[in-house]
Amino acid sequence: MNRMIIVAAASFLVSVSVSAQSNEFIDGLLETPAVTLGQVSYLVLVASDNLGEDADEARAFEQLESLGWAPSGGKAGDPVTLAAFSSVLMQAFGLKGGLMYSFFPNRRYAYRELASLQVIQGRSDPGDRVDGIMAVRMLGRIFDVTGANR
Amino acid sequence: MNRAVRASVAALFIACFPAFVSTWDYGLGFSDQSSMVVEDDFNATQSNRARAWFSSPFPAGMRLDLSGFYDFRGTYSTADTGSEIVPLRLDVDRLELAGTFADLLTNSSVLRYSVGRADVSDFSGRVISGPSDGAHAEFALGNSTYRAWGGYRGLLYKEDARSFLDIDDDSNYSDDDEYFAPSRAFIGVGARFAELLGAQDAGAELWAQVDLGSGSTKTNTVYFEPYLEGRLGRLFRWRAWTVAEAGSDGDAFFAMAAGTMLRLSVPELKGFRLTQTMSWASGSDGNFKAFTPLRQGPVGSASPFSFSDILSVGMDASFSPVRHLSAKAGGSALYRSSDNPPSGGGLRDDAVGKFLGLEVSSGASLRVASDATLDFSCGMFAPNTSDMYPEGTKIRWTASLSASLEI
Repeated sequence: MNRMIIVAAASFLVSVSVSAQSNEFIDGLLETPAVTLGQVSYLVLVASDNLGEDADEARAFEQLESLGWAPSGGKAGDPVTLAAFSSVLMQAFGLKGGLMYSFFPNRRYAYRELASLQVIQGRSDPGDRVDGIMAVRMLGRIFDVTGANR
Repeated sequence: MNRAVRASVAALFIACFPAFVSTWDYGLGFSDQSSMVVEDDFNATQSNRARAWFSSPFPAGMRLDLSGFYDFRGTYSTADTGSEIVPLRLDVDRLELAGTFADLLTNSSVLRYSVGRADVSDFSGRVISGPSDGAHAEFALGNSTYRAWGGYRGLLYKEDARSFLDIDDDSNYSDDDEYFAPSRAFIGVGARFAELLGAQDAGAELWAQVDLGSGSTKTNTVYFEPYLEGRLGRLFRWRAWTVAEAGSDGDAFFAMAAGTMLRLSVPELKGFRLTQTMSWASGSDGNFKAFTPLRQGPVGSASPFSFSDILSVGMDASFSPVRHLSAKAGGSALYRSSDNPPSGGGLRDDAVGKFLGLEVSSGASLRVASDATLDFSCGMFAPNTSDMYPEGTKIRWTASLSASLEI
């Protein structure tokens, strides 16, 4: 049942914002226990219109680096932490963040901001790995938040 | 501790430490509160708190939450009591090791447990609330939840514990050299059945408190608290509860308390909420004695009364006119339950009625950012001078401004 909800959510995202992302990518992502920086780059950059939909994960990660949003020293195959994923989401969708984030726009305060916005739900830590289902859920909630802000 | 034990502890720590420091989290919070009360005299209080917290997964699927604070508090008064400064108070407000076992009996059962210092509250929050040292277990099975608590309150700061069960507690509270609360232990058990009848929940809790102090009076108490709570359509929520207290302080005594709440919520109307409440605590009258909970709390925001020998009937409204700003206003009528002087004192000798006065309050909360908030509140209590308080008794005014920042 839970899987069906996620697939439905992913399908909704696909239809609304990431129409050209392959079904294979979404299927693969949902099966991933720890998403990588490459997968995050592709998912977030395409969903935020920062990347063409025909790109691949390697190209997406290059774009993330060129935008200056990639964690320093990170590689495309590295598993992403919740804090790092939060930072990518904050920057890709142009979220303003709290008082501390406006002074120090780093991963720590990005994580705090998304926890405050309920994009991150339940007990978690900034260093936690992100599985594919969680990544899709968080992206969906980002759409809710940015839709409310605009 | 001999060398082998030390080595074992060190080895265990070294083995476990990397497992939970890899994903730990921490933070600091700062809060400032300035408040004043104007009645016959002017009283102002300044309170500043810096709070540090640490949270981490722990071996065996557990989780550790730890927080402590530094508190400064200064009071200024034009009354004879004068001013006071408590320049340094360091304390722990949370030290909790918690864990969960899922699918214990069936795939819809969950057992949660915790040990350490954490907040404990009964259903109404009128018997016990705030931090306590002890253990808690909660077993959820389908639509029912069973809970058990056990703890000790003698290691709490007396202002946090707010224990006023007998004259020994009163002496402890007024003793400036005493930091800790009276030595009292408690246990509690409870069961809650969700959606027992439609959208209505039902439950009951049983609490017991044992006096472990060496004072002149031994006061032991038991509280039975059945309750109902539910929804009426989409817009209304309601709750009703009652507490029957039985105890012994040399002689057996009985006391009661009860409360109701009905709330209208219209989220699409700027988050509008209208809440009607009634709460009653018995006074010493006939077969009853004044209600004495484990932790005594105020009954209003501007009046001086605590939840004993009191009846409060109130209504308040809140809404959010713009994003990040919420505002509220309300009022309540206060009555004494018995013919005795209520906790606030100051009644005239020939007071014959029950109506103590009217309380009105308002406030606003602004969320400046996700990590910074500003709160303002003010209120007044107009005493009934027609047949309860002496003529010329002044209105009691209160105001409070607080700010907080999380980093």
